[in-house]
Amino acid sequence: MRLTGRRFAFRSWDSFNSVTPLKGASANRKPDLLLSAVGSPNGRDADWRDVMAFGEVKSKKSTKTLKSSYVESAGKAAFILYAQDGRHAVPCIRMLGTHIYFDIFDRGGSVSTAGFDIHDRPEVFIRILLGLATGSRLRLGFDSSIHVDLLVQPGENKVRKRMTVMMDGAKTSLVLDHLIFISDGLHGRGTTVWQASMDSDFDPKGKGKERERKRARPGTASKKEVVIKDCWVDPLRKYTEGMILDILHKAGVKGIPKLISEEQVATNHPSPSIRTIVNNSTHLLRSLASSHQSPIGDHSYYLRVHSRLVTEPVGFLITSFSCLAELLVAFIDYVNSKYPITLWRLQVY
Amino acid sequence: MDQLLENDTRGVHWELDEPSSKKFLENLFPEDVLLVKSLEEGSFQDFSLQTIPALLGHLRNQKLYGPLANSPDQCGWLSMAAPSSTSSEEYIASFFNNLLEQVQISIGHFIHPRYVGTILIA
Repeated sequence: MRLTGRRFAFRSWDSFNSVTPLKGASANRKPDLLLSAVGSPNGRDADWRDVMAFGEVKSKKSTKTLKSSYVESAGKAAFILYAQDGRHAVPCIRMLGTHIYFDIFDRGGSVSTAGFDIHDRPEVFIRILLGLATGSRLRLGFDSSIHVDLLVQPGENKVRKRMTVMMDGAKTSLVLDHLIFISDGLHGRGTTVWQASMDSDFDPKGKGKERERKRARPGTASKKEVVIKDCWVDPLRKYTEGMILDILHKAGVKGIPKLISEEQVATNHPSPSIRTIVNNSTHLLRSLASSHQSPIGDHSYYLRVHSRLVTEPVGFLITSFSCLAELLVAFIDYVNSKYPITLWRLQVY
Repeated sequence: MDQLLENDTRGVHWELDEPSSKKFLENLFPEDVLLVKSLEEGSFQDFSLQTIPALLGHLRNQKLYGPLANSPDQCGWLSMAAPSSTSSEEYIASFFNNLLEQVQISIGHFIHPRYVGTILIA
């Protein structure tokens, strides 16, 4: 049931897909409840790419339903992380009889609250409901460093995603042109790779006149293409991928991506009451639960920090070769060549 | 599939106890953000309803929220009995949406972010 026609439409819950699988995934899964923004495709057109949160419903609370609902939720969270680039965590609820459980899955593992009877503890229930319905995109697990623009154009509106990175010591806005790879794992590195180009409208100092000049000379701005690789890395490792690329580059190793920049992605703290910009890590979410008993000391999780690597050149995907023979020729050329290959630029992401 | 997921999540799944759960939810969804900052400017209906207990009390007083008197299993909420043909999922979705609407009638409209289309760039 969708209440999009109501006066106070916002995000709404929908149960249509409890019997009809969502689009956008290789396997059929039917979440009992979906939370999506009003205006997004629904019913038969509902897509994993539009899901903000979801819910699982069981008629009663038992050890068996507690476990099975968690495993089902984990599977659906993995679908959402695979379908939505720039999403790092997925919140969901489980209704077991009259008990509500709130879960968040991210790259470090998952956090589940205790079950609260919605009759006996309505204040907890309404907090969860309002939090999911009104929470910012950051609170729902979206990457706050990726900006989504709606470009209104005659005939068709287009969505553009962009991010700001440090390149050559200056802030540079990059437009994400193409998703090259996204990991299908639930936890771990969660690697996402985009092909991106420099935003020709971007002015790091915010000078409007310069931006206008660039607009007045279409095509004159640089269209440098780069590869952006986001992943959640173990901060305790001695060498980062960027450091290794830099070492190889300085050693004169040819045929490897050239590092442009490497940074830890900064974000607002997940708790709205803490107004601090921090490096994004899986620790942040878990720090919200720390209390006198310090569950951090009693639990384990994957400690990961959000790393962003910008490299060039942009290569071809191995799947873009037209046939096996073409691929083999490219590999032979690559192995035999002493210099960077210009015809077939092979890269490993 | 389920076994793979179990292996993936084993050892990295936190099940919080009740006090930690409450603290976690309060930190993630603070009251002042839910009931004040998430509302459209100028849409406040009642400034005395800026805490969850006050909001719940108001909804109960208005008979907008609470178990139905004639519902032995306490499954009827919001003075809205589920039609016999309705599935439990549909009923719960409807209940959630009704509750969100009643909250907005009581305290003000939620800020409405635009829908910007599908997320994936393919």
